[in-house]
Amino acid sequence: MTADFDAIVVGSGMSGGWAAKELAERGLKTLVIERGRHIEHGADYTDFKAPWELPNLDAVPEREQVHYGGRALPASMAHFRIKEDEHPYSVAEGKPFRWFRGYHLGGRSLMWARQSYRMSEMDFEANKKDGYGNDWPIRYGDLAPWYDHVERFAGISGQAEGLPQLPDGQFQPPMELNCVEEVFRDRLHEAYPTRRLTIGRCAHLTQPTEEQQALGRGECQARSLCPRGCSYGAYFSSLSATLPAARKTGNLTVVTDEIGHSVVHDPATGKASGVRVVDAVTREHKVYTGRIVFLCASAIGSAQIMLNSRSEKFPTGIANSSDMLGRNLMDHVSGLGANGYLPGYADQYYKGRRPTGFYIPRFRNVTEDADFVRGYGFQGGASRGDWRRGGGQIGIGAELKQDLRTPGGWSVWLAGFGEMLPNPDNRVTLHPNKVDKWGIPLLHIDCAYGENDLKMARQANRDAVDMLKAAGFQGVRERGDEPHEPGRAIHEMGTVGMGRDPKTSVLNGFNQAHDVPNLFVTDGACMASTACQNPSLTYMAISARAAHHAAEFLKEGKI
Amino acid sequence: MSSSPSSGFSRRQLLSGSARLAGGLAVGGGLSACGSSEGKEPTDELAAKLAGLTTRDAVRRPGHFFSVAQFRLLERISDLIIPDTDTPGALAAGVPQVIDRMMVTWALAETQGEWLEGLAAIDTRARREHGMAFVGLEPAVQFDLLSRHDADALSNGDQNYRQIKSTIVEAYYSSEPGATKELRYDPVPGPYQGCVPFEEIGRTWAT
Ligand SMILES: Cc1cc2nc3c(=O)[nH]c(=O)nc-3n(C[C@H](O)[C@H](O)[C@H](O)COP(=O)(O)OP(=O)(O)OC[C@H]3O[C@@H](n4cnc5c(N)ncnc54)[C@H](O)[C@@H]3O)c2cc1C
Ligand code: SF4
Repeated sequence: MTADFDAIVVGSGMSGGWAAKELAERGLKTLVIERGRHIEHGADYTDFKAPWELPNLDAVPEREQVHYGGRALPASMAHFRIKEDEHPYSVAEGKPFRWFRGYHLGGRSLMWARQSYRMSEMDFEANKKDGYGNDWPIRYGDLAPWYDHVERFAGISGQAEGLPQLPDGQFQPPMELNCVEEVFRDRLHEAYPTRRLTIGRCAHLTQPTEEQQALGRGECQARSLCPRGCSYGAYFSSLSATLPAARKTGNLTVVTDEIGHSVVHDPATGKASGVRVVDAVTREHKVYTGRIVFLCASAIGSAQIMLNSRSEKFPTGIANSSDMLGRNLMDHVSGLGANGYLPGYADQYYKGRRPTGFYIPRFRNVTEDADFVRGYGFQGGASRGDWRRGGGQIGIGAELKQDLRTPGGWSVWLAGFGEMLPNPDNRVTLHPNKVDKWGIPLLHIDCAYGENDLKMARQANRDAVDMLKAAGFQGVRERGDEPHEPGRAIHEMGTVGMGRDPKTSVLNGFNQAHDVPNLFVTDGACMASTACQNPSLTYMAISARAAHHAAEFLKEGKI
Repeated sequence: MSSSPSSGFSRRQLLSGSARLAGGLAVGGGLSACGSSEGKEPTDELAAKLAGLTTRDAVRRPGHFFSVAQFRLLERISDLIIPDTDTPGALAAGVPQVIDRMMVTWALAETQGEWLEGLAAIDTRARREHGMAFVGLEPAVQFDLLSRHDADALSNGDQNYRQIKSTIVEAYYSSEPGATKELRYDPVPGPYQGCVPFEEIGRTWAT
């Protein structure tokens, strides 16, 4: 039997784009299946609209907010938001979980905040050392060349710092800190010699390479209109970078509006033979056959497809002989940090809207002890108040106008992201009886923080407050007592974890299902731990690496 | 905040089906008086009389949300909050039109009711203090009254007024004259410069 395609990739987001590019570049006829609609790079973006060209002050009509969980949101970004009421999921009683999705070509690579940090050796060793979760089957050294590879292609701007907990990468020139951020950096180093503040490492081109220019990508113009889509292709997304590169090979086919339903398993060969899809419009089913299958439908999405791939051999979902499928759902502990303001520096301002902030790498359990395991980093930024303060301040008329001509004082924010421990009881399952409008069982999410996560959150708040106070900030306030509910960091991962032992993990060190050798899962589902860094750069490196090995295995006739 | 002081209508009435019209009149009717209801708290009866559209001011304009009188009040308030100076103000920037459009295409009934209540509260104050509709007062008197209302409402956490003021401010600084003439607007700044003396830029960035 000849297959329709050499490789099938489900999902066109951050990891699917990478898988498609690497597989197609290795000569494999590759099909990408995307459940959402087609988005045309450039033409479907709203970044060239001036504020006065956006109706209703760019607010989504109030009557439409029900589709977005009752939230107000900029209309110029609504084209990348799902109508949440059309895509329900259920959660366990008293355990809220926010599942933030992007269902369109490019997935959340169009929506992300582009913060890009490597995981370090200590992150890959952590599970083994303290005993929480499965030992990662790979180490930093396995991934380092792939970090190099994806950074060179994606374009990451940043400053080398030589820190063991946050390895440097192949950086394009860093963006600048502003004056008050420099003051904060220097005072922080004085007060806490082992804590660092560095400019945010972000997937923006500050010095485009020839390869990037050949893909039509240009230098970042500091407009901060990124969530509308960037017509300059200045930030990394599947649409600006990986899919165009994959298309250049002539080996790529993309279908949109087709929902991955399940992976078809052939008991005769023990392999996956293809992917069943439901047409999002007609609801018709069909099967694409392929020699290898990559699931890149996002951490929870890939788990859903696998759980829904039930057969005689795998009654609880494909490749689930370990019963670990859907388990160890994690996110970053978020909603931590503090705000404050700094008097003075009224004669200093900045030019441009920098699309990144600064970063304070982890110090807990690196250079400073804690009463919990693992740690957190802080994102942050300083800026001056703008005209918005005028809406709430007393005074009208010419005086108000005159006052708002001058920017307000300097304020700073710190937002901590903490490492959440793996826990097999935090899991996703298929809902026993509810289905979506395509007949696919809904996902049921049962996830809560553990004691270590909450301890860490409290300390992160204290650290944030102390750092701001030590640096002379005033009016310092914690962001909140309790962390946000899991899911809010939008760094959901786990659920189809990598591990060394087929009895306790679903994937091996090449992201290959222990039970089904030609099935690969390379999105956040594969993560054995979260570290505290924003994860997408790691998904990219892992996807590229897995695609490389999958192509090799195929060539060698191993799968 | 359960009742609209100028009309005695409860908020629930304002939000209920027929209250769309009545709510409009809570301000439109009250404002329309031009002498006829001077010094009196408008009653439901008065509002009902005015609902007969015997006065020009209660006239609703097709395709618009605010009645003629309500819109005139909104124009005055916008102009007083952000006047013309050496740069255009809220009127030249079309702020009242933007807000009227928002009421039609963006706001739900509850928000519409809040706007009408917020506007009515200003008019009621004019009637209480001067026995006259706000728009009938001398500009200097209007400025004095709105200044005091602004201070009171913002210190009391009056959300209706805060919404009105912040929307006027936002609509102005998001407009072309507000962003480009009053403030500095740069759609394509080029590489970010972190430390620039304020005097080199001169004004707040619009975005
Ligand atoms: C506002 C925001 C800010 C963020 N900021 C950062 C940041 O600064 N740094 C960082 O590292 N990460 C950030 N993230 C997270 C980042 O976007 C995700 O980690 C990343 O996109 C995950 O990649 P993925 O390939 O797993 O999933 P996605 O990018 O979500 O792609 C999954 C794709 O699969 C498709 N799909 C899903 N189910 C199916 C199915 N059944 N069949 C077919 N297709 C399917 C989806 O439509 C989507 O296109 C942010 C996310 C958001 C929303
Ligand atoms: S800040 Fe840079 S990446 Fe973002 S929209 Fe502007 S040019 Fe594009």
